[in-house]
Amino acid sequence: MALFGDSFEFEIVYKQYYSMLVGFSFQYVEDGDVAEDVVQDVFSNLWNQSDRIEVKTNVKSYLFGAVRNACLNHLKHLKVVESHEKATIYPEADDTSDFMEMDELQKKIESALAQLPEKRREIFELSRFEGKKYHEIATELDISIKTVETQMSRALKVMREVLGSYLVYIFIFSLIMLIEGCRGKI
Amino acid sequence: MNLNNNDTEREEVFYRYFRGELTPEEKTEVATWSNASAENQQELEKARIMHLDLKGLAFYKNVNLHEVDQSWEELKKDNKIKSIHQPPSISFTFLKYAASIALLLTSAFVIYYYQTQSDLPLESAFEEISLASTEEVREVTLPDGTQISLNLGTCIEYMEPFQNNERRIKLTGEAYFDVAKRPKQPFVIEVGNTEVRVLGTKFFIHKPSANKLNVQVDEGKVLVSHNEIHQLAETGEQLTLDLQTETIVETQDETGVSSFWKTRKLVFNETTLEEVLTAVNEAYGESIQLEGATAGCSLTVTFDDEEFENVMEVISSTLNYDFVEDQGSYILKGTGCE
Repeated sequence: MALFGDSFEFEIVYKQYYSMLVGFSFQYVEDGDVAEDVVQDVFSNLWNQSDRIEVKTNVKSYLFGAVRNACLNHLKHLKVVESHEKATIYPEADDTSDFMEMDELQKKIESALAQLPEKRREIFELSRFEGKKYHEIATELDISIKTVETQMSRALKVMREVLGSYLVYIFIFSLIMLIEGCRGKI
Repeated sequence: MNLNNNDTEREEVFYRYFRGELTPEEKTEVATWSNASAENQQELEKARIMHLDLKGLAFYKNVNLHEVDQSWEELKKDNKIKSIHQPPSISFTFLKYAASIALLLTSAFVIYYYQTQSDLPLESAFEEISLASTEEVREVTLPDGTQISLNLGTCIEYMEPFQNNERRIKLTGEAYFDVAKRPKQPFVIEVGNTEVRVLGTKFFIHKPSANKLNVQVDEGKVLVSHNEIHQLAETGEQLTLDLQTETIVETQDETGVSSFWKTRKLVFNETTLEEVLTAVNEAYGESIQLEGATAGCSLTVTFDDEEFENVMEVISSTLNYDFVEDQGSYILKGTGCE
């Protein structure tokens, strides 16, 4: 079954997720134009190959997963260009990759956060959401910087467990590329 | 800082490394550690991706500033996507002009609200319109030509003129919409936390109970969105959103009872007597009691703009039942149809 009955449905999906996806993409590539290009490419691909692409959970999860993979691919390419390495043909993240299930992932993160001791969660959120520096958090909560470090490392460990189980594919994928990328240097 | 301790501590250092919180000396230390082996390099790379994912997942909802419509047009052009709607018969220069007007109006709107906050009334280009139907079903026409029938006790609110790229209205109650086609300016109806988005169509919004919302599409397509769930409904389809379980399911209203207030039509097709009575009660706002057996009783009939009394006359005579009024309440009595 085709993903979209017609261009109207595609348009609705596009307009619904475009801004969110560009915002998401920007967090990875940190360049507004690139962020938009990445999202545009993902949508073009989705439209042109919609009969080939298998959406495992829902279109939203597919889009976020595809945008994330495309961003990581873009960063890889950048690295290659920067290090003046001989151009390597990298395998692109394709439709067979295991895209993350956004909604479920969000829920997992939230429930993991909810299970953290209150202080640890507060510290982690001040850093992650409000972008506060460690010394600012220490002052605000009247604790030592060392405590912030300890609490942060424990919170990050939990995050790693949650994210890790969902993003397995892309890790393996990026590691393979990294090894290929390093071959020339070692 | 000791990078050779354990994974957990190292990950925390990497987190700060990618957030730019390390001193130049510490950064060099991380770079040296990473260059020492391929494993180290991989670990740093893993940490980088985790840092990016944490960022992406934390902030993706915050951004909403992009020119969606413009980018859509570009994508459409690049991929030769044919819009199923009529292209707008509007010249490019005019579009640019219209866009700047819209921008001006938006700023006027912002200023207006700002001023209101500080108790300084100011003339605004925007007017908040609210229309209610308190005594009878009311037909209203919006400035774009959209026609709305408001059932009793229904109210809509909107800004006139509509803000730049969408026609957004708030609905409390039940209504039938015949939305004017404007491909570039979607029509969005807010019902509490739920959004119904449409580009040109005819449909009903029905509220069967406090926790349910029903959208019935007569013609065209609409997208029903509630929090993170979205579902399309097309011609002839009906969706029911359950606000308690936060689910949207496809439903059917074969008798047409949910749109009766507008259509004055009830359709029964081998419908059981119990279901017929439930529909009639809801449609006419009555509470007929059923007495006696009903086994085997069903009806196939269409009532089009009929008075309540005539409807009951047809039902009772067809099934050989008695329809009586007793101290202001109605009773339908019979012995079944087998």
